[in-house]
Amino acid sequence: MTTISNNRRRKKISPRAAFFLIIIAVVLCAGLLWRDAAANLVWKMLSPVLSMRNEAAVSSTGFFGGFASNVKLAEENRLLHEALASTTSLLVDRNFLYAENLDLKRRLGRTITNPILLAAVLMRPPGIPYGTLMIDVGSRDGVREGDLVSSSGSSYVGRISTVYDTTARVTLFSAPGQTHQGLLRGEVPLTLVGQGSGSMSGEVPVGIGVSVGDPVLLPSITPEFIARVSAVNHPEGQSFQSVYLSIPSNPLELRFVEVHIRGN
Amino acid sequence: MERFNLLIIIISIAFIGAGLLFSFWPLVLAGIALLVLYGHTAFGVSAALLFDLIYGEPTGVLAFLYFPFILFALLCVVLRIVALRVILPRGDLGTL
Repeated sequence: MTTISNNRRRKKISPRAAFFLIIIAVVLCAGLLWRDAAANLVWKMLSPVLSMRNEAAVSSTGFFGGFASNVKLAEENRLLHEALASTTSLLVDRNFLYAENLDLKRRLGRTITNPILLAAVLMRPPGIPYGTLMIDVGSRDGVREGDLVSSSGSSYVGRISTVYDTTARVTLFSAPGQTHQGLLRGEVPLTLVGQGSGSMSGEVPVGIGVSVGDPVLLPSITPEFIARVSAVNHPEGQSFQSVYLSIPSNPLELRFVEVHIRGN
Repeated sequence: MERFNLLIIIISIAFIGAGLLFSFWPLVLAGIALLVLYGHTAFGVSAALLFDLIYGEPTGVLAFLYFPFILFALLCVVLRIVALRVILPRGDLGTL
């Protein structure tokens, strides 16, 4: 037996659907107008929960780490000691040169005394689908939009993009679509384009020698290191070579960052 | 049916909570999709709005989306409507 479909009767929008569409439109308009205020409220409630989660994660790692294989731990310990020995000597050299650099600038009348604020990372990629971090300091602590954020010392990873009362959002230099001006080895201007996951890319003329490991700095009076060359692609017959870079720290592993608060 | 709806809501909330606690946003999307596709549209859109506030705006080429989780929830609403009106009635042999 065949019956006639009643689909034709469904063409009118039902009152329920109309009400739903109106509610969605109101929510989107309200979101556009009061997004920051609403996000501020949500983060005020959420930041203690995420802080507790992070502390619990650290505690459980320590607890379960005790069950790891002794041989594996001894091997890891040996490798870490070797890495520490080579890094310590490099760090002494770096600290000496950095102090000398600042001292020379101080003699020329450029003193940089911006306060540095330590912040815990509440959420990081891949927990956040975009190239951003949430940190546990906000406008109450003096953080402002545009402040630079470093993983440690002068290794910068991003800038504050949104500030709430108790939290702030950091947009990483490597976030997709972000562009920044940098100086390759502190000399060659280079436009860096974020590719996500801690990677960036740029192009320089073929005549300029670029090698893996070259640093890229922000154009500034202080040495602000933002990336290191990880690969160079030089296609035959092209006048530009592609340079691929990575930010100094893996954003997926950042637990703490330093916010460099600009002076007024 | 009431029990089934309750089960769907509990599973969705578990997905969303796990996505937040274990820092794995695809679980959040799965929870929202589950809520909306099973007809709990208001809950699903509310959860989407909450996560748009938590995660912020996208960067790069997707920046124009502005509310990507809400748009995803609306896409699920459209999918549900299409499924109910076009795909599912075809399975009913008594109706043309």
